[in-house]
Amino acid sequence: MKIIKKNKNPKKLEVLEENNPPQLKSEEKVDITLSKSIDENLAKFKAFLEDSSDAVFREFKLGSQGIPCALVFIDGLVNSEVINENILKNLMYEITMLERARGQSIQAENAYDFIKEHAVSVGEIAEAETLDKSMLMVMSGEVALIVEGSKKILIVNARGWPARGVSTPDTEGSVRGPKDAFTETLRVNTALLRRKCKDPNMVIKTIKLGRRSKTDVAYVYIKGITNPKLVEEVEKRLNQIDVDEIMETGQIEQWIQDSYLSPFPQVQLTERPDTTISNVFDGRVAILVDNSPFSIIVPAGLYQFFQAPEDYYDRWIIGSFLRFLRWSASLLAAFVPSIYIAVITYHPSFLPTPLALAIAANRVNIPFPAFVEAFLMEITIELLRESGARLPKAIGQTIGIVGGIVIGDAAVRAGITSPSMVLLVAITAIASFVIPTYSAGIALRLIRFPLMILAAVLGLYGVVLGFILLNIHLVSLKSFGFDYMTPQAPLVLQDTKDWILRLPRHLLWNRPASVNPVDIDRMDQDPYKENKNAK
Amino acid sequence: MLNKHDRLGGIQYIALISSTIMGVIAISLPNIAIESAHEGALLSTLMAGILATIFAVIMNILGNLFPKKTIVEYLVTLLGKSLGKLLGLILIIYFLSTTALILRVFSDALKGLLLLNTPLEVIMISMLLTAVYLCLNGINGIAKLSELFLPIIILSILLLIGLSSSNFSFVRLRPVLLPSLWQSIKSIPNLSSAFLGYEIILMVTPFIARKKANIPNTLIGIGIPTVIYTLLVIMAIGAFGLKPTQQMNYPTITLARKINFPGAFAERFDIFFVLLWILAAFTSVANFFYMASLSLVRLVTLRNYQPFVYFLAPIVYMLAILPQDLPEIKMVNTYIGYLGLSISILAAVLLILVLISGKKEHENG
Amino acid sequence: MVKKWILISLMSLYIIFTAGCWDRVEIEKNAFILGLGIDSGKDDNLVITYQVALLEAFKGEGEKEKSTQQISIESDSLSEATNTLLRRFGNTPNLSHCKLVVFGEEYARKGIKDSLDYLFREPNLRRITSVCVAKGQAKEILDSEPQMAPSSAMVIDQIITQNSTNNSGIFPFTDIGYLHRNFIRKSDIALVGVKAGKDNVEVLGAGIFKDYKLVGWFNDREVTGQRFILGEIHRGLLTADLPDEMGGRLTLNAYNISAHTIPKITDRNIKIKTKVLVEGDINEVTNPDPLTDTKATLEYWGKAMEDDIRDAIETAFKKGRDTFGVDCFEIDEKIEGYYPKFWNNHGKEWDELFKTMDLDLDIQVKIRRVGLIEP
Repeated sequence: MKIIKKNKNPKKLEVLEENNPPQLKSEEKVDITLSKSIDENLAKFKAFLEDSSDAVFREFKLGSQGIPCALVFIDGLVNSEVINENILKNLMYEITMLERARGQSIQAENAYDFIKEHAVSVGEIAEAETLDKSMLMVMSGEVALIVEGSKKILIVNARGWPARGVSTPDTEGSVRGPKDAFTETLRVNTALLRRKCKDPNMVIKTIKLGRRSKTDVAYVYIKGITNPKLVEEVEKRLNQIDVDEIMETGQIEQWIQDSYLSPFPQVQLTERPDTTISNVFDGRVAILVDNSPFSIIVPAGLYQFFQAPEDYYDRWIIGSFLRFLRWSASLLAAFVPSIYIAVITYHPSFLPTPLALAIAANRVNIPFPAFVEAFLMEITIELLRESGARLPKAIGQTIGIVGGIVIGDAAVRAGITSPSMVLLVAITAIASFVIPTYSAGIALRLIRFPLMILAAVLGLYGVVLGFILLNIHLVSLKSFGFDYMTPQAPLVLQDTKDWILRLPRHLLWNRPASVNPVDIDRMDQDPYKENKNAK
Repeated sequence: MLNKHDRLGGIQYIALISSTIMGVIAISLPNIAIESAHEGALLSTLMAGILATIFAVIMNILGNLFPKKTIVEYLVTLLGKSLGKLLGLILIIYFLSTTALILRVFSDALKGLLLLNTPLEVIMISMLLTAVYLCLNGINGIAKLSELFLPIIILSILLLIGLSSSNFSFVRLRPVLLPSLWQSIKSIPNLSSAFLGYEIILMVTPFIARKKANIPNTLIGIGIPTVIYTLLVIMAIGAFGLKPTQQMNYPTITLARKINFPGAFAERFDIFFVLLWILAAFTSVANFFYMASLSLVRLVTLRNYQPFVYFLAPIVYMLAILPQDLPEIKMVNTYIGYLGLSISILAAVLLILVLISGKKEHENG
Repeated sequence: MVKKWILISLMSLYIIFTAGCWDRVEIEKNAFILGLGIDSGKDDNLVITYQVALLEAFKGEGEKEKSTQQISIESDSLSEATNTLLRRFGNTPNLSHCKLVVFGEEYARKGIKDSLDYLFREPNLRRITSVCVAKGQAKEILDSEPQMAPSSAMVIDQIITQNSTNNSGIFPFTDIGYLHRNFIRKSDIALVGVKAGKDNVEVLGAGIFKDYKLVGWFNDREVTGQRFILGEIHRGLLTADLPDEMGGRLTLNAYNISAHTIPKITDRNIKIKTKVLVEGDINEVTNPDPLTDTKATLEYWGKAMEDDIRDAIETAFKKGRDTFGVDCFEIDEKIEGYYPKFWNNHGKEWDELFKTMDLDLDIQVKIRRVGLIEP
């Protein structure tokens, strides 16, 4: 047996699991084979874990022969009741009753099989033949049962760690529709999805990512709807990730997105299971990450960021109105400050005379040019937003009040800014919060600033140039090889039914063609028509 | 890749043609039409459009005979290396000078309308750099952007036409309804420069998905500008009368100036219209510029066109600042119009040549 | 990808280094000129009066103070006067919100031709800026301070553009676009007449121009007639004087007026045919007789109204044709439209031809409702 050398570098395990493609680049070979001796096996575990206070090594003797056994688990990740009632009690107490009833004692040679077959009263067990596999299981919250005389280690599921229950969505509130949100536990999240789709064709594949963190990453799709090439591409991109740790879906997002030089999100993040599952039904792939209450949906088009689940739950007129409102709000949020700057510094003739005179009169004593004024105010509102988001909720409200007074009144009275500018900044801020997806909203807020600079230099011509540049950028973006600006450019006519307007349900018979699903029909084409014929 | 749209679709083909044709000229078209054709303005605009349609269809048929080549390449196949390359060079010069001309006319107009004190160079360079940025995205980006902007452009012009209907008087239009045929035909060459841009068909057919570059699509693509231009001429004459329109540099903008924009936040429709017109001008500049760099790279038989975009941008700028004043620009415009017409005729000759010699490229070859 | 970003940074560098912000004028640094008055001064000079908005008064709070200031400059030409204005002001003169151009009566009689080009060429001046001619000095008009509105120019503009649809006596659409169109066609024009007191303004009739020289005035009634021939009349109150026993003074609220004028040429005899259809309600009768026969009365009133309209139109036409010899009815344009060949041959003799022209009227008045009481 090779001695595990202790050095200052943390040890690395050579992973040889067949289903786990990310390979560790091991600097130091560790012998991962297990021996029949419990002492040797325990020593291997201890070599890694003895410094950790949460690792528990519970050694005990089994049966009348006193076969040495040991439980290895991480305190806090396991359910101690299961260990006490279903493992230790069985192994230490009831097994002797069994021996007595059968009139035979357990020998070291068959102890392992006997335990597996008769003694452990837990539903989910597994066997590990190598150290790395069993170690991974232990670190994931399972209990490793080492038995003298066996080269295998029995892995018993006794997971039970502190977890948050399913709660309402924090960032994507809705008036109608289900109120559950993803939690930090992958299993709970997949269960939430399964509950919404009982089709056995829905595949939830799990891989482990992160050299050290070994995070479970699951991707969900429906066989027979999702384009297999898309699934392949998702697998390919996920498997390319080779980093130490994966903490959050956001990290996955950054590794699998197409262009890292764009402020626009190229995948959709959501914490709502209903949004996720409806996108999966549309032929997209959802990616879930353990420890993250968000799911990623790929591919994403710009239009998706303007959709809220309620659009589909409400009647179509209301849904369409809300959609339209959000699109206009996004244009407002991105362009209004720059248009304002351009108009009042370059083209006051654009305004109706009374408005022009009113704005001019309000600005008479303002010491700054309009651009500086607007820039200051926009920065202020971003500061307020950011501090409000970071602070505890109780103090966050104070920020709102202070901010409201500071920019709403004091700045105007102090002659720093004009009332019209305050109005404008407030409108753009509100408009930018209308967009349901946080990351898209922040991208839109960000592009205001270059647009404002262009407006300050070239007036409305600059704004139009900015608009053109923005569109060139958006048009050139891709998400998993799909065009970002669908269904607008390239025009996919059948998808425009569910774009700026959300047409009645019976017209939305097709899944988005821009995702290129295998099965495009969501239902029979125009069921109303057939009903009429039937009558 | 996953994307099924790696080749351009039919709508993108239509958008490319329409948005290349519809450009700067839209704001001065009624003036040009009346200046050259007087009473025949309307008829001759329509006829110039029909002539352009005929040429476009010829180019379309020609392009489809060589589904994998642009004109620069099949010129060599058809006419031999030296003559083919020479004509290819002329084509490049045409594309380059058109880019420069559009850029210049656009900048002049914008300076006069919106930014009176801003130097011409600034307007030109900022526009050109934006075009360079688009061209680096390749034909896919250009097609998608055209597709994106075309509805905006069409809607803005239709809005202009709709809103100025209150200034429209049928009496003023009556004189142009029964023009002399000869005068109308005579002024077609002058007007046909307004419809230039359909030459893009010669360059883009290899990028279009099979069977999408068909004649109906071409007809729609060129029909849109023809209808819109004709409507513009009708509106301008109906609103001002013949002689006043002839005296206006930018009758379409003047049309917009007469409109009282219904809305509380913006009063001047003309500024609004100019802004949307910038989009039209931009797509024209960028499309022509892309064609110039693409034809150059095909002429020297290289694959990557991107360095040529950088290389050609200063040349376009130099060409654009060459003309000194408005008459010179108009003169250049006339020459380029004739050059464009001769390229169209060249395409027709080539088609006849192919049909006689049967030198077409096989679909599989 | 990286190349693109090199390009973008290049662009932003370019913008930053060349940033002159050439056209930038902060909105409060503009001197918004609301009205432009042109009078004649000494030795063929012009006296240009600018009505400049005083921004403090537009703040939307506090007492109403003086909201405009008038500056008069004597100079050769309009552009020179604007240039002079730069010497009097820290702010940049901005004509883009100019609502009104007024010609003084004295100047108008001398001819307004030499100041027109500036109005057409100046890109900031809007084409829908109203143009009128003052009864008296243009400066008086701009100097007057109407009680209800911040500026006399804005009030007059509103009267001309908005109230002309409801009042048939206000000559409509005399804006720069109208001037330009007729200037190029070498047609004669009519402009709205304006009169001002110290704290009120009034739009009165129209000034008739021949060769861009003021030759006389139309009163309200003649303007109504003129508008019938022009076909530019839609609504308004029409009145007719009747004998006392038939109702006295009758006022008709015409809510739908359509008027079309079509020229007819036979040999060298030019005739214009104006077809008028008026639909209206009775608004007021000064001497009502409650017990008359309804049907007959209405018919009589309709006839009387028709006669009155005919009289108004004929008065206006005769005054234009005989007294002034000015075609201020845009008949030339109609002839050009309907008889382009004739116009090409005889357009130059139009002044002579107009004097020989006849008017043919076809007027129909339909009284639809009578209000809340029987006639």
